[in-house]
Amino acid sequence: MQISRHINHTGRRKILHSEVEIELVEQNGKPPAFRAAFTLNREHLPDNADLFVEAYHSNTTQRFSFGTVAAPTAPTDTTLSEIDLSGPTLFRVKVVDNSESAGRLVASAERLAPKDDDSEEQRASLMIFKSISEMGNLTWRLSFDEVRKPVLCINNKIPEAKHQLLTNPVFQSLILPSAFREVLMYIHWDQGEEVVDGSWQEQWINFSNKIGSVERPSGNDPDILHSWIDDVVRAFSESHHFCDHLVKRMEESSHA
Amino acid sequence: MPEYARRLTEQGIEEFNNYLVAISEGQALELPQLLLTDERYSDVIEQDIEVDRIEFSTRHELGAYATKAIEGSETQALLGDQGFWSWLALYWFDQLCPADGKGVRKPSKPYNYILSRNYKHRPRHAIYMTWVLVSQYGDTSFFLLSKKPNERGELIEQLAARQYFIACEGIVKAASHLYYDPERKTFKRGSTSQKRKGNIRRFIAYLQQLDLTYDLGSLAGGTLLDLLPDEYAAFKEAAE
Repeated sequence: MQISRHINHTGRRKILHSEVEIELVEQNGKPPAFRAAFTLNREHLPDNADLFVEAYHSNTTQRFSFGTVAAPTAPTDTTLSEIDLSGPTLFRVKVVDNSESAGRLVASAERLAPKDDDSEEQRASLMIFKSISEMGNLTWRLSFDEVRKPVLCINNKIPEAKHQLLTNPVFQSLILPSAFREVLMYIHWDQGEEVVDGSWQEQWINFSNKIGSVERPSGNDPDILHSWIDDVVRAFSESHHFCDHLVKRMEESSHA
Repeated sequence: MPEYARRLTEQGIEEFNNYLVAISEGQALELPQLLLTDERYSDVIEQDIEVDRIEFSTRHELGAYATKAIEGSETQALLGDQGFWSWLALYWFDQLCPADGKGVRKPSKPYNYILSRNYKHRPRHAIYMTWVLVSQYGDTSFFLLSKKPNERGELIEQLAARQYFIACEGIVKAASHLYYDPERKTFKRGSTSQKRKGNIRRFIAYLQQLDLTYDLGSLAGGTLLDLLPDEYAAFKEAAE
């Protein structure tokens, strides 16, 4: 039996997601700001080490100094003014010790999602739903990250956008099958046949294998793959009765 | 004559992409200028950003021009605006992808002109990335942008592909110190040679190693240069 274990060569401590809580704060006529609350386990962390929070999306990054480990202090302005807000913003936290040599990284946390994005309900699902600003006239789109599960971004100009997606059969039937298809295409385009164990990509393939009539075919033949994706999306649509619910809602609307 | 910048619509982007595909197959088509002004293909943007068809001698000059044109605008709203950056690339396309005597152009991949939704490809955009570098680092970014607008060098290829590195001022300053030759007004000879010690690829590999134990965002350019091993001595000395 092979026993594998991770060796931490760097000595850097991993900050648990439970030690940091990030919350986005909407601001009228301005990009959102954020609040960060820390409940750091300070064992092995120098009290005077600097604390930084970095917001990021796509290739935009904005860095904020939050004082020290012993006394975290939020900067006066945490507006995400340098972040591309056309997709979900994530955060990383860094603890940096400058006492012996400049910039020594002693602890960090990556890919922290704001509180709303990380609810129990969202964690259990295969996809995160999020209403997003700066989408122009695009009604919805998917945002992908190598490590984090796909985010279905819906334009926040649409009244109660996220609620509509969760409850309205019209939105669900017209968006979700297409989004499902796009995710499967993306996985294949990005990773080919090999997906990483335990990754979101593997969860999607496992789920698809379970609901489809056949398991994901091997090889890269686009026709075979396309046909498998069609089959899975059809099965997904059947299981949720998308077309029936759409027709029923349309009939209800026409009688109202 | 100056014009107000606009934003390509979804249809405009599709048409621009079709054009790029067609000319990459060798077709000598006229530039679809109509997309820039026709309301079916482009929209006004909420801010007044005035641009002109200036001839730029380097990418840096283009970046400095774009920085000045965009200065004072609400830049945050433009960051992920695919239509805006793609419109600018089409506007200056003659310089980003000049035609030869027979009217034939040899474009790079579409994401060099149409801002990609894929974050891996986004740093390739000819205007967006140039603006990011110049607006953030000014003249320090010259070593990455010293070529003609239609040329993209190995230095930017390597450095900009690592999105976090390009956001760290210390890294950009250290790289400029190592690889910029003020006499030649471009990068130093050997910067991109894979046979040469301390070349840009080695520098990136070293940064990746350093990233495990250092917060690269905290390091000043000088501190980073002090941390570099001996193999960079020749590049460091040449700069001093």
